[in-house]
Amino acid sequence: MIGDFLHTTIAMMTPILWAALGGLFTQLGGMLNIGLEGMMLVSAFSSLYTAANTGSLLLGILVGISSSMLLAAIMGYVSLNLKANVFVVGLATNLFASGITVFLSSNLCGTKGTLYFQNAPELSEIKIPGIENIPILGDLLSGYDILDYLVFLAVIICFIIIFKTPYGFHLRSVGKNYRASVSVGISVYKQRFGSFLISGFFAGIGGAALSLPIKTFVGGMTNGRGWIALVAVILGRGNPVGVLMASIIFGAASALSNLFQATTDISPKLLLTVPFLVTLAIMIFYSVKRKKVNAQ
Amino acid sequence: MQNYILEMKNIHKIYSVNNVTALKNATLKLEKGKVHALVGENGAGKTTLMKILYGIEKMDSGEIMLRGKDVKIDNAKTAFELGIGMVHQHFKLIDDFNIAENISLGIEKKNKYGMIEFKKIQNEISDLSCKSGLDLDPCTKVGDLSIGEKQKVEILRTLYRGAEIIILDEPTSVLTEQEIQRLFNTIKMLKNQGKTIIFISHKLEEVKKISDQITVLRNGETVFTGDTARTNIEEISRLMVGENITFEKLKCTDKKGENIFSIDELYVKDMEDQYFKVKGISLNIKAGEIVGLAGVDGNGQKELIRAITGLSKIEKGSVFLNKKNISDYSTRMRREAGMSYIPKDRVMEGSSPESNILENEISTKYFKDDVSKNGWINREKSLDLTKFLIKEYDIKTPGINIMVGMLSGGNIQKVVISRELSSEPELLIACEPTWGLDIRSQKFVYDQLEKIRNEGKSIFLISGNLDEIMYLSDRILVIFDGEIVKNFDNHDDLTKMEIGKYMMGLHIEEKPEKECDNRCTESTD
Ligand SMILES: Nc1ncnc2c1ncn2[C@@H]1O[C@H](COP(=O)(O)OP(=O)(O)OP(=O)(O)O)[C@@H](O)[C@H]1O
Ligand SMILES: [Mg+2]
Repeated sequence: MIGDFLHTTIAMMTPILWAALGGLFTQLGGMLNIGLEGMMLVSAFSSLYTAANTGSLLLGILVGISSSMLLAAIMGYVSLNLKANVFVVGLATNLFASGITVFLSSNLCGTKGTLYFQNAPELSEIKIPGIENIPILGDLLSGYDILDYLVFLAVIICFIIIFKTPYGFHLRSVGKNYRASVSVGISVYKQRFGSFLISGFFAGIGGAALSLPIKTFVGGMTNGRGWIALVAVILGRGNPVGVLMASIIFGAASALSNLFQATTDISPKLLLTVPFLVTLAIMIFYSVKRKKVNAQ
Repeated sequence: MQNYILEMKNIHKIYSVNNVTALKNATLKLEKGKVHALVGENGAGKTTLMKILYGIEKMDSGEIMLRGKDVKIDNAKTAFELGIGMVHQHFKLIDDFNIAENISLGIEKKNKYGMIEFKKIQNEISDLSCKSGLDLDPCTKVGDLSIGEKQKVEILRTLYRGAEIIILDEPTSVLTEQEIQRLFNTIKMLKNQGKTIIFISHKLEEVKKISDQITVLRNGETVFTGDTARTNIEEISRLMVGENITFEKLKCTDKKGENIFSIDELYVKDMEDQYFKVKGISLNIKAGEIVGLAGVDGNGQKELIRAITGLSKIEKGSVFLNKKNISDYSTRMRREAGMSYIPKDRVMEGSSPESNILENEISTKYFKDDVSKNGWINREKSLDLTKFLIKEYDIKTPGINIMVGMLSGGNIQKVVISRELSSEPELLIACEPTWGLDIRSQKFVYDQLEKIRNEGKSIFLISGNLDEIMYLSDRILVIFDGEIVKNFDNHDDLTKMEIGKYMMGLHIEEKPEKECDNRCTESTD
């Protein structure tokens, strides 16, 4: 029972957390990446389509990442080189992504509806030898897919990059006061463009983590996860561990809504709103708390 | 033939964005181990010349020779590799980072795994800060430092980067008296260690005190270079402006009218809403009277002003303007009731640097009939008004559409003052109205204040510059620890010493520790 709940939580959390790690980097550089949703969506389609047609999961994920990074690069170019407003560019990215995926799905696969790839390779659950058989612990720790495990590793790696390396140090300085960074010879443009690419990288994995496990793609299947990831970024306050915490809460909220759907008579439509209500509640709590701290 | 460590010869610079000739034929020659003052009016080109030296602006022609060799400096990195460091007029520090992080930013030491060795950096900075006499704990967050300490961090940063020539652009304009004293000690120490220092300031007394040599810029041209000891202040100021400008103490008028403005038992808390910073202040200002408020920074001046202008909440007490209780009025309602306000920080608070002159001028009156009709801003009328003000106040600008942030300090202040005075206030709150201004602009501001006083308006003048307070005020109030501790009539025999005694707290033997005044720096997240 607890094991099931945790598994659902992690499954729900993983795509959000991947994308949120991406959003974290642009956030640190001082830009809010509204386009996470679109990047995830593009990757959800292209990774699954590639995996199904080549039979290679790895290739699928790589293509997913590349397509998402390409979108990120365009976003970076338009907002940094052409100086367009980053919010508008982000919104355009999302609209473009939802259009292009449906277009490709109908052109390549002949349907605008649900795409199910029967013979796409399985993103199998990994049973950890040794731990798997320990009574409760095995149930809790074993049996997730590779992207679930890797995301925890990614949190650690991001932490090191952000807080221990010159790259992360420079990126943070740009986000906090870019004039100060410029005065010591740091290129704001390079830092921010780089952060968009990283953002695309992680959002790409997030998209793949959405479609590959269920071998299914539906138009708009990200269903607001990019936005929730963005909230996780803000709640995480520039720290990957904080982002992890926030993502776990969202994962748990989704899992809870799934659980209630299975066990109660409450309208499933209503239950689907639970994660968003939780988001709203947390945001309100967060801003009230912050207001208190900053009270004039 | 003298041996110079640095020579800048025949420097020309035209800013292409607005076609302003900032420098023509500017020359600067520095001797090693000397403090060299660079003076000139607002807009004379001092900062521009320094930015060229530091590689953040390009010159159109001219040459720079460092230790006898031609050098080309086209970015800040080259500059510091050549041993040139600059402390900007506006600090370039990151409040959320600690001192060590700020100082090492951009030149971090890495271990073999590519990780930054923060421990090692901290130790190095610790050592350097002891050795150079700039006592700083590298682990303190910069946001928690006072302005004077932030400046030390900037200086330490130039040293850490190996600077031999250190540029200080108007370092004293942000400091209190005591901090200036400490800065001078630092400068002397650096000089003894063989560093060469360029010192920019508008206050010639300071220049006289600290510098060995002086270069005077006028309209982008070097008009004088020589030993400080062999010049006097009058001569320098004449060279700067081309004429003699002197100040005379305003005569107190006796045709004072009724009370225009009064405050009754006012209590205000600090920005964090924790303690009282204004503790029961009452005061009156009559029509045609200038009342000066003297006090050491951080004794409640800021909170008092914020409460008067409607920016902070009043805990207790009331504020009256023209017999109306305006305590609950919004800032705009207060303005409509006849209050004008010249804020201390003309760039952050006083103007919108990224808007043009017209937009700034109408920002306090866009809703009034002068410039709008039925809720629409009238382009013609606002243009006329702006043109009139530019002419009337002699604002030096290439055009109306110029962003205010691109003007020189003196001209930004003229924009602010013209905006505030043109709404014909009954009461003017003037905070540090001449901060960072050259003598001519200073004179201009004084004349304007005198003019409106003689027209019967009231002025509340808050300034850290005691000379200014004594020049202008009819009465002088001294604020200490949130209370008005003394009310002086500004007689001719009133001395600075006498006022100073009250500023320091009358019966308190020891100087009170200056309170940290950087608490309310806006959070930017
Ligand atoms: N970034 C810029 N773009 C366009 N014009 C500029 C710029 N910076 C300065 N100027 C103009 O160049 C001239 C010289 O300005 P500069 O800042 O060098 O003067 P300054 O001597 O430092 O004056 P202040 O005492 O007010 O600091 C001024 O007329 C100013 O308006
Ligand atoms: Mg200047």
